[in-house]
Amino acid sequence: MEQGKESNVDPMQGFRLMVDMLIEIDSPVRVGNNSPAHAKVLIESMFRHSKETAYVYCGHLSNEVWGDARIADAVSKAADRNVKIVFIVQRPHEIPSDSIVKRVIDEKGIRMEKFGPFKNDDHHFAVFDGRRYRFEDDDNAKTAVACMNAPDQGKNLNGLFESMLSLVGNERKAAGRVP
Amino acid sequence: MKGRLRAVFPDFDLSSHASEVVCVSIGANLLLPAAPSILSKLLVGIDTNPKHIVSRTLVKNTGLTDYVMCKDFETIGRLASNINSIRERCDRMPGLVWKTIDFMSAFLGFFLLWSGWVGDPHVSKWCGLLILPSVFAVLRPFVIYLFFRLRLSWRIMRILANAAKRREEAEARNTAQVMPQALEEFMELANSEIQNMRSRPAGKREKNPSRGGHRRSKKH
Repeated sequence: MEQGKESNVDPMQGFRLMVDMLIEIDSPVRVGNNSPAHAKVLIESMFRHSKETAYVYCGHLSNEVWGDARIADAVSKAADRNVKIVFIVQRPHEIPSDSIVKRVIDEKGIRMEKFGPFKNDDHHFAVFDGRRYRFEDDDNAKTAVACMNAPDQGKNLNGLFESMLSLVGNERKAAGRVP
Repeated sequence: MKGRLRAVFPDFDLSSHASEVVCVSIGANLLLPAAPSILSKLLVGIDTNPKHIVSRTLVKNTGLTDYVMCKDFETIGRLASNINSIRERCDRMPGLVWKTIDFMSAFLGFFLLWSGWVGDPHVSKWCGLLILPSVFAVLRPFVIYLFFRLRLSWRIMRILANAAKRREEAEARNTAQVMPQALEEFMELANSEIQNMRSRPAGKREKNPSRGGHRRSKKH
């Protein structure tokens, strides 16, 4: 019966379709995601649809999420579209040597900085075009919430990311002055 | 009415309304992802506005372990057959008992009409009122049909009204209007931390774990 047919559908394919539709219609509905597989789909779709900015604050580009060829491709294409991409990584020295996203970052000359973590409360996040975001509740479990159209929260996260960037810049300047 | 109709999906307990849920049209060019457990019971929701479909489905499936795609026309077909089966059941309700009563009352009515009102002048004219059962017998199918249709409509309305309420609650919980608590707290703490860092002279930032400092335990 139809039920049998239905069970053959790849769950992630359904999730991907749904995320794409949410982006397409600018839905303000919040999506929970509770596995690295969901995270991959969300990040890839958000990169694919980004137009102006793509800011990512993460631990060390772990292959569990970032070791996905589709994400690497989406990052690469976003860079080709002149999307302003910046990665802030907490532990750059822990980035896997075989990271394909790191390779794209190097190849495309994408800016990558080191910052954090925050002392009191630390969560990773990614924010795109100042209105789409993915915010991790738990770094280990890779559970997160995401929203494809949340201008207020997106703006806040964008502001925070830019503050982090300016701090990094100030530090660099200071380091340049003080040998 | 449309506002109510679009409310059928989220958090809606279909199992308790296995043969009652009904709804409406669908945007013809959309795929409808929904959980199989819903689809197996679904008589069906659906809407002309793609935003509603996605929101509903998403709300329902936020936990997301299983998905299904189904072309909307298939779903509509299932809906149609379910509605028909409800209607047929309503039409079958009277059964043999009612048919017997119909026959008896019609026979009695016509007999009294002939013998009481038109025939024997000694019998009270009021006996003619006994013809009413036969009138009822003639009208009964229409009355019963109307009754069941009205009852069905009322049930549907009630279900949809409940669903509308549930939808509102679900949306309040799930839309971006409500900021996730963890995000709110993180923004607050991170911003204040950044302010602190800015107020310190550049190059004298407190050490953190990535730079050999200590990291306090996470709140979340």
